[in-house]
Amino acid sequence: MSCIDLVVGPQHPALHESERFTFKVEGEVVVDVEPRLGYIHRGIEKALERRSIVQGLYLAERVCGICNVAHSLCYSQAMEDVCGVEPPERAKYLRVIAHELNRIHSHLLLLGVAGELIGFMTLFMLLWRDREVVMDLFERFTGNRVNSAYNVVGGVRRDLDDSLARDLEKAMDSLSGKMRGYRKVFMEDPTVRARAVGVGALSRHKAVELCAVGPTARGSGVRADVREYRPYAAYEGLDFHPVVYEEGDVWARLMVRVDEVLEAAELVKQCLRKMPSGQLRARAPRFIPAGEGFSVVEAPRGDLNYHVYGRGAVTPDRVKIRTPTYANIPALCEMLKGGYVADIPASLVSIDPCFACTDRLAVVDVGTGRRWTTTIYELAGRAR
Amino acid sequence: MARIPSLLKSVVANAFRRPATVKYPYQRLEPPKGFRGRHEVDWEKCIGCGVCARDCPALAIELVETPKGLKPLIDLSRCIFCYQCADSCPRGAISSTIVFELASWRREELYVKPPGMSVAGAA
Repeated sequence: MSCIDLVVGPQHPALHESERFTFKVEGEVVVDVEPRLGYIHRGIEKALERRSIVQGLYLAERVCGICNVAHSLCYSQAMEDVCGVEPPERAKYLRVIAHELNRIHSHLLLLGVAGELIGFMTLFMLLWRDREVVMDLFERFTGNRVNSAYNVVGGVRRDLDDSLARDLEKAMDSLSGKMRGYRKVFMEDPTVRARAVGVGALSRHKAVELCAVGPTARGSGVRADVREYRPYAAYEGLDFHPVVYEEGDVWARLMVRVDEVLEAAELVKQCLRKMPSGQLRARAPRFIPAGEGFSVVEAPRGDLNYHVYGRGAVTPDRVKIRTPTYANIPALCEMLKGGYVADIPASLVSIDPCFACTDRLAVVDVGTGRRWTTTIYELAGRAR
Repeated sequence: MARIPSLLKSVVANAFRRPATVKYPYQRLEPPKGFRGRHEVDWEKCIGCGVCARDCPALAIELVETPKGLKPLIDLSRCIFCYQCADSCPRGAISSTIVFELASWRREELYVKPPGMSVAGAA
């Protein structure tokens, strides 16, 4: 049978952001995928080169709205690394609380969207209703629902008072209770199982070979969690178990997120108990010394890396960002191959794509696995 | 035989529950204390040093001439509400309010103006 090209995107109802995927389809079966990234390139890395430590923080935070705490945390840690600043103990615990609340809200959002895409609107509505509780707490904690402006280089902005700590603890308990109910739904509900079990398979071998990160890798049985293998902030002092599922299908990747919400709620409660009192921030310099700073954090979607080069000036020489969705695109293409056209949205949502933070100036050739960098002019030339 | 979906119970219960949403313009929720809304500047405390203007990531703050020297003029249409200005202020003159309904028909209303601002140019 001959192949036809099915073009999805850049503007398509199944994608929440603009990105193009060309599927080679034989009947109902996808035989090859060609992604084309770069539609939402915003030049953030270049813009960061013109901003001081203080101003760059807010730009880094806006790389991705949903995982903004991960971005500002990673930026702050990379800058602390290059400047040689150590944040106080209490600040580290507060950072973990903000980071985990952010993860809970991101995972609940994704699970809701997954419910919507597999045609389970009830689950979508209920999950998003419960997500509001976390958003309200986050607003009380940081001062805004989404863009937190909580982490700063050298520490955090504001403290956690006792009444909020009590409310957080209570809310985490009730959220865990509700999540256990949803866990049962994801385990047993025929709608979820029919659309997710065995769909978008990614073997452990392939996940390692294609360098999948985050829940995508953990759903394929790869025990890779930055919080475990390279603890940052206060994770070293916390009792933490990475969530790993062996199945490697859409269902496993969703279950990783369900369990991670439970795990994150536990981590928040642990932090509240173990948090020492003391200073909130160390004095950070305004001047970036010559040298390199590196930081990697476990964002809700996987490893997020920031690499900073200082040149002994107020502005950095270069800030390189590697976002998790970008690392997961080759794995996504592998999942889609051999699946049905109708399962494309389910596979796509299972890596929790965030294309706005993905678009960079590097190109990946899926056929050969070759990777090279290019200039914006060459890209413009290729587009013609 | 298909089992009864476990979600059915909460779906039925929801039919008798109060809605989770509020009808916004008629019914308002107050943002919590510490919410980052419209700025409030204590003009007596402000010394016009300009650190807020230098640190603002959105370039929303401009120093303008007033009878009491240079003072910051905050452009709320450019502001990203990060409150770095309040963080940087050596005198703690800038604080946040819980006012979040900032939509306006006139651009002039989108400024936090120092008293007695002499130049009408920017605003």
